[in-house]
Amino acid sequence: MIADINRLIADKKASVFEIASEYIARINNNDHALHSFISYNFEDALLKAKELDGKLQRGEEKPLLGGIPMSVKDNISVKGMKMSCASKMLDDYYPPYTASAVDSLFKDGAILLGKNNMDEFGLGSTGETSYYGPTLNPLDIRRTAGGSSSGSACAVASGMAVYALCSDTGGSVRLPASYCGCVGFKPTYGAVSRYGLTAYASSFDQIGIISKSAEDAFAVFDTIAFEDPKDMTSHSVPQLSEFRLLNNDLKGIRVGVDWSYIDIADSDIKNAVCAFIDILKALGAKVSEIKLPSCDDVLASYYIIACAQLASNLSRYDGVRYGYRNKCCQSFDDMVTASRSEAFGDEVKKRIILGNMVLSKGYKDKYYANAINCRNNVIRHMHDVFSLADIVLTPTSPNKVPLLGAVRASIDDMYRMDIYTVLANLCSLPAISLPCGYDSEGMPIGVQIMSGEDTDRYLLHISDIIEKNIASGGGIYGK
Amino acid sequence: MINKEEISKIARLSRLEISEDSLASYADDIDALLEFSKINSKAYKTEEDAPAVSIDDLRCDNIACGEEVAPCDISKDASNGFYRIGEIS
Repeated sequence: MIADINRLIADKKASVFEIASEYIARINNNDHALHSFISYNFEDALLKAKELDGKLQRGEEKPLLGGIPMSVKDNISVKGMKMSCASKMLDDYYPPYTASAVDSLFKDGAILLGKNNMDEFGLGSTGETSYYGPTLNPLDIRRTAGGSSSGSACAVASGMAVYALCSDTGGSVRLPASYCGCVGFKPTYGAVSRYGLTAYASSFDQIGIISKSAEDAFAVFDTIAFEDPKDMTSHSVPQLSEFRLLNNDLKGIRVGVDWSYIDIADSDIKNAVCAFIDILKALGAKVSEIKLPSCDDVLASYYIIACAQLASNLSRYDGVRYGYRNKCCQSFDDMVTASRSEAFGDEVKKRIILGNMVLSKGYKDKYYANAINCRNNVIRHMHDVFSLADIVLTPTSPNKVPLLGAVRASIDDMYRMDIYTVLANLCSLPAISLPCGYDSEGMPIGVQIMSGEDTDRYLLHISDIIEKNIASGGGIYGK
Repeated sequence: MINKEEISKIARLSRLEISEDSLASYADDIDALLEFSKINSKAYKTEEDAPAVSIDDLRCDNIACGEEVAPCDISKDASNGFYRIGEIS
């Protein structure tokens, strides 16, 4: 998609201004029904597009992402633009600085169209906990777009943005990408600076990308991945030239599959993933069975640690420094409690309470300490797995795309949606969700591929080869 | 089973007020979450295999600042810590 737009601009078939105008028209025509955006940036987008056209006319070279219309999840700072995290708490918060990842895209001339809807503070897997209402799936508006990056996936899938910058704490990039038929890439923890990303669970949070293809995700990743002095956990990851390059096939690639993971998925998903494995075999990959950590324990460990970190991170929203403040209270304590109680949604409150509960005396050893032990073991386990396999394959979601309202009724169903995705966050690994087919109701199915820490570019390279082979074979990408 | 009083107490400590009407449903949901969050495998509970990491261990001043690890260069050791990056992140 990015290459196609670049070709249009290079061949002078369309100006950057015309392309930006086209995307704005699409948003104006469709977003009132889909609720993909929380705020728009049209005036600035057109101004930047005009400036870039002027530079191109003067003979300046266009960077790869220059003039490409994109959107940003509403928990990533852009100076002067509202950043609500889809919460009443930050409904009128305007950050005083821009996130490092967004800044690097701006330096390349990216055209920001607006900020995307999401689950409140990223807490949810269906996009339904947003203060501004749920985003609808553009492929079937009775269904959720997934979450928490619901608006980002919807915008890319419906052609309202070429790609979206979003965040992934336990699957928030990959799950909505899977539900909307897009590519969702979560880099290695620290490969992209978190400076400017609103913290949910700091040891899991990672900025990621939703796009139409792995090739596009690669182009964006190349721009946003660097060591940032403003984020001490950031580091540079190896260039593609440091890996053994593949020649349009997967010869020599070792694919690890744990059938017990695939068996618990819906039968349509199981069939699609098995068919995908056959494609990898046909491309020359060597598929072998591996043993992944118990997915129930991985999920439990993730939720305990994530809620504990959430409770700590969200304690800063007290009505004093940021966001909503109840102005009727007589005392400071009452003001803090009233502000938080009125501005946070139910899901946020439940997870804060759970987080503080697992850290409290009497629960800490049973839950939190146990979860940290579990995490350390799972990390070691996955290290061993990647000595046997180059990539590990699982479905992205255990269930088909849910109808709106269907999942929220059951806590168990809601949290189980992340059963495949949290492993990569727990172990800081890169992971990508690629479309791999359609279910019996015509909705997309995603397959997740994980690789070893810091092998982001290799994972994107492999994904690109898989995509191009499937597309040339008239597979799902042709639909 | 978590009771309403316990939820109410932790909510207060979390600076949250939960109405009497909502307490029962919160207790049910949090109970389900705790049940859901039980780690069953004994393999994860061996001290020697997996030394416990506490929040105190992860504070910057508890990380070794010798030759191998520069002050505050804790990118590899910090994966469980709480960091405040920037003004709001």
